[in-house]
Amino acid sequence: MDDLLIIGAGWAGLSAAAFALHLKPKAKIRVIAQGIGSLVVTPGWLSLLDSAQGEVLAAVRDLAARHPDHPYALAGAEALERAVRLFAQIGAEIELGYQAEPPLYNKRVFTALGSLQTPAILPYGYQGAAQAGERPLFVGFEGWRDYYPSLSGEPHVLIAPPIGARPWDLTPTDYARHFDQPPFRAEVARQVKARLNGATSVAFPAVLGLEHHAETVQSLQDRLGVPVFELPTLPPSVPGARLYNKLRRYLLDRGVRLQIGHPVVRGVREGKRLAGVEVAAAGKPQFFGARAVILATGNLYGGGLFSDDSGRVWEGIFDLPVQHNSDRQTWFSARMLAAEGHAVHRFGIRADAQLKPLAAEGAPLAENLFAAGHILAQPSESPSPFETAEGVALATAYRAAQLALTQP
Amino acid sequence: MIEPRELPYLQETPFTADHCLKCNICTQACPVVPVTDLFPGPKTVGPQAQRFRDPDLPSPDQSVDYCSGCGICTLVCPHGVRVMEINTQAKAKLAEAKGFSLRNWILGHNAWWGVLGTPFAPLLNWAFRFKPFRWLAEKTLGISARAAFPTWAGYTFRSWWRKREKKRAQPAEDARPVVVYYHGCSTNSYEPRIGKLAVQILEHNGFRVIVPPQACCGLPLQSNGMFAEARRFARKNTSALADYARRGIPIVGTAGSCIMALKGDYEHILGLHDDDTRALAGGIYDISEFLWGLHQQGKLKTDFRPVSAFPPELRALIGDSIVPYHAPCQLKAHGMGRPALDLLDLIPELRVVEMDADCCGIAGTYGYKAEKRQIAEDVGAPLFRRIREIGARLAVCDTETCRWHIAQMSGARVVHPVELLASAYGITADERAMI
Repeated sequence: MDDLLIIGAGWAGLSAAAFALHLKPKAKIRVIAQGIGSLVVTPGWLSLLDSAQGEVLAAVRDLAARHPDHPYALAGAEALERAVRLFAQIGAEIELGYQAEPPLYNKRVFTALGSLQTPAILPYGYQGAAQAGERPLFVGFEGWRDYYPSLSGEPHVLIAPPIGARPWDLTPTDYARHFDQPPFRAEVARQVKARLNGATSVAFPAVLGLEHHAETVQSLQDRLGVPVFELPTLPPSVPGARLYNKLRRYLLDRGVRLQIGHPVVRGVREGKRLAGVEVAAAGKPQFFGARAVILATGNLYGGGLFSDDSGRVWEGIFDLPVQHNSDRQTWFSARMLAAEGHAVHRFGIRADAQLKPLAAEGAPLAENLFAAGHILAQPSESPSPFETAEGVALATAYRAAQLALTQP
Repeated sequence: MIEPRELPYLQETPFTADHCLKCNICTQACPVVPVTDLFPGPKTVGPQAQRFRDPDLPSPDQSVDYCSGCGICTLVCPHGVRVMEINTQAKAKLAEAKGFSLRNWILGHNAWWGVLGTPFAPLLNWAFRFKPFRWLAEKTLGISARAAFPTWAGYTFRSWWRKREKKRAQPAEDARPVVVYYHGCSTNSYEPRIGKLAVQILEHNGFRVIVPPQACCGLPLQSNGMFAEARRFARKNTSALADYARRGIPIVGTAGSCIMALKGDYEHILGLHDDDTRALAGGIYDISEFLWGLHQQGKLKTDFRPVSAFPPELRALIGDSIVPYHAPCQLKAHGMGRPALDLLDLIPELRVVEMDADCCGIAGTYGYKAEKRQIAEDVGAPLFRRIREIGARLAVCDTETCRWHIAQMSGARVVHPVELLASAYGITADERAMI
């Protein structure tokens, strides 16, 4: 039997596993997920509260005080800060440059479409945006359909590094693997340098190395003599994959079982507790027993919630009631990129102050089931869930791991 | 040849393509994509090309031949698309339309060569180490001269088993619960020691082991696109073994990928949807899965000796190092977790760590093909590098071709989990100690 079984391998699931290791190094931890998890479709930075003007953790505490049913409030006032400090510690070990020592202030980063975002914690690739200066140069690759630097800003250049016969067919990850090779970097730097033309910094799509990211950014900066930074690309995201790969190694090295592929399909009850979960495996269902379970399967995007054309919304494993609007007309705002987001993104399950999911009658479904991440409902008047995306995942993951590990 | 559909529409392998969002997560995770330009990726040749695959028309895409069939695409897909299965069916379609090479026919029929070669073991083992012979085999047949071939043991597991059964007094009343041992071709002809150890481990845990007639799982035929013949092998196994499963007698095997063929491929790749296939799929276990299941019920004997009491040769190989464990792709496809790792964790003083590499590269017969050999070596390079960095002289892996490939490429000795479990139980493959 495992001490902790986590369902889901996105931000919440993987960080819950990593936090649990720190809280109880000898704990037996298992992560089970259908598919690789959402890290590879996120930009790889951490949004805690993008609209915060001052110190971010203080602003989050303020948000939690105003919205007692917000996941930040359920996680408790201290959870985010502790989670962020732990993430910084792990971030240092996995060498992706995530610096997260409080006090934290939001950073300004560029997007591929020329807008700005203000997440709080960045890996190396995005950090150079702070020194973008007056005249950043946006660099793209000739013939590549995934990134058009003219959409990001001017001036822009298209370079043609040697990438083989089918430049249009490459994914961001393919480019990242090319950047892992020193001769390729050198050639890119040569072509860009010839066209710098007084640029104060250089922006690339986020493909600056997969395995050797820090080295790639550093070597480009050295050769170009100006700050270099990345812009998030279309998925699958390279910064997300870097983090996923490093976290995977981190967890496996420490004995965590990471099972990607077959979904958990139901919980197995034993009185008021869960004895474990059942996985839809090859041939027959597989049972995994656990002292505590964290449900971190995400919302409609992550695969934790489902909907159909009747407006029904349901949770796929424990059939927990989902807080949602039954009128589908109200699910979406008029504009796709509306700043307030869409009502549908706030749908989720409800949980008590111990992050225990609530069943239909309003009591916890099981004493040893906890929820983390975006499967938790968010109140309608609170900031858009995208503003707090990784923060909510980390804070609830920390709190859920902490509570789960106290289970007998 | 498409068999009548018996699953709900969207669970039928070809139609899972309808769940594809074209997110390219599978392309990002595919281990073949980064090392060759000849394979455009699982999404392109799988769900994307599937739109152009009419069951009654030839397959439009040739590059699917470079799919190694590792199945990582299917595992990482967040939407349940059976990418590898779609690709394997498309490969069969290609073979149906274009025919298959003599080389693929030879590699697909591994089941025969194992048994037929046994009497000629010394000669064959010499020939397969004789460089001019391998050079010739590469030039004429396209079988890579660099690939590691197993050696014939010179006797089969089955012949050993028959002799052992004859010699042993059969008790009049045997109340022990029965398990069927499914040995697979490799254990039968090349590595009988694994079968000998498995049988004794099961007996040590209070089971009566039986070894009824059985056939090759058919996986080498399936992955080389010879579906009709693979189905014949599958039928032999389902009719030989399904009854045991129905009677609640577990069927336990030591070849992780063969077991996966019986557990899942028969239905989802070969398209067999009958009751026998389902009964067998539900009643067959990888040996680690079976033993770990026993442990969870408190029924596994845990009289494990510490590493310091292992045989000296093995102890020396382990030394002070951690022991790298590679979970083969086909084993991950079981969805049963890492039972081998869970079991090995029970052995005192043994520190086994799962490697984060996805695939070792060999993918069954794939890495034995001359034109794919370099790909197979490059795919596994991160794993081999990691094993060398750790400085490990011993590694663990559940499937045979992966073991041979990792051993050849990393320099470590690579054992099946039962080899370590046996040492911990004090069980050996030595003839005298066994009967």
